[in-house]
Amino acid sequence: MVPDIWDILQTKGTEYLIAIAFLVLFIPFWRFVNKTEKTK
Amino acid sequence: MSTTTQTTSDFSAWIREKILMGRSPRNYLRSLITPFNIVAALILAVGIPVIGYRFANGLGAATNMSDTNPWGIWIGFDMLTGVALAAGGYVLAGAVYIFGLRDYHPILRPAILTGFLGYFIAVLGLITDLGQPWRLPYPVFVSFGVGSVLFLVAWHVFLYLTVQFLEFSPAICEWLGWKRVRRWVSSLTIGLTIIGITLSILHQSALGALFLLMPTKLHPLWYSQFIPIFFFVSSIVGGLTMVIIESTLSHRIFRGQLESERHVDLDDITIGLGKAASIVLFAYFFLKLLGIADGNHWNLLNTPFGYWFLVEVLGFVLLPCFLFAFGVRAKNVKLIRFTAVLTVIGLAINRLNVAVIAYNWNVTDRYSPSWMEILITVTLITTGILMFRWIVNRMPVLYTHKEFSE
Repeated sequence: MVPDIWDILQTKGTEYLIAIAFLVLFIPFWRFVNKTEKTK
Repeated sequence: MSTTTQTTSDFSAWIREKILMGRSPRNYLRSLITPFNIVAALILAVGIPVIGYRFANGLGAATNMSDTNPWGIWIGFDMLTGVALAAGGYVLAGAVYIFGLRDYHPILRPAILTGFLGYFIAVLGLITDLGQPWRLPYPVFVSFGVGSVLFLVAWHVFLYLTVQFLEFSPAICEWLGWKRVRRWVSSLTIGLTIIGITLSILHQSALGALFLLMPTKLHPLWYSQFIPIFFFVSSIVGGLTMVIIESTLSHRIFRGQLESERHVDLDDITIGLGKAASIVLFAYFFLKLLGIADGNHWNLLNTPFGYWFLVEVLGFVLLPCFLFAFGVRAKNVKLIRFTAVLTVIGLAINRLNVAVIAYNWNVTDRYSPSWMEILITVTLITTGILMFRWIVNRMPVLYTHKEFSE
């Protein structure tokens, strides 16, 4: 069965979205982890 | 005659000092009677004959495995989980010797020892599963099945076990007082670390690559062309979390060995390891999402297997990721240690999902382990713990040997 071109585009599009989401979210996450709370 | 007497006396003194930890045989035997040892002895007393029964009567008599379900918990837990949790050796060696994070040096030797014993126990589990132990060296010396992923796995295990033994051998040399040999093996450290990391990357991912051959047998949510990468990345988390657990337990159980040692702030080391685990888990979560997206299997998430998949990914990947992050921010070492245990359980669930639960998910003949399989697994884990304790009690693992301090 030949896969539908729209299915392929949708799958690849989702993969790119996940990759971009990772890159966008990683920066604030990195800052969050590396910023230790001030001791009271 | 006097020379013979002298030699016997030297040998007795050596046994007393090195093996019996300076005690007389009677005192040493008396010191062995502890609640933990009694439980361990009971497990071994039942477990070892059951291992003998498995070798004498075969897999059919001792396990619930079948032609449909040829892999049980000895592969799913002892081998796959054991090897992933033994990754602390290469992760820590890489951090200390390659990336120059010398702060982690005090926990390097126990991590390498845990790694070595983890692999050793995994190999024992593999021998129990395969049977015919005399054929174990075949892939290395006799029959080269170069087209098989298992051939790759066999070579990796053989080579990496050798490398880990050599990485740990300075501690053995210090224990035996072999200064020249110790100097020689210490000079190999950087080379061994590089070879060890290379072999581990290949080996951890090769275990995942085994499942690339089974697209129809493994549930689509767990099957992915990225599965070798999943196995490798999750092994880094397994190594880091296992080092957190092992160092915590070692510092409590072997406290006496640490008293004379310079102060090592284990809390700072634990926070550092927690931070690394948090960041790797964050990346691993997105990789798992890519795995679903790659096969376009989003609709399968709304099925019973999908719910179980979500439990694994949300409960044992994303949740620990944020718990580690909060623990690091608040410098809450207890939270980091609790999260490490949660993550190790999650890793075991992942490997059991891939090798047992989501494997052959669409057949009616489902596998569940027999009591003998579970008992043999418990026996092997107990053996590993006893070996770790035996070595730590004798060799300079948690402390620096006075004559060899650098």
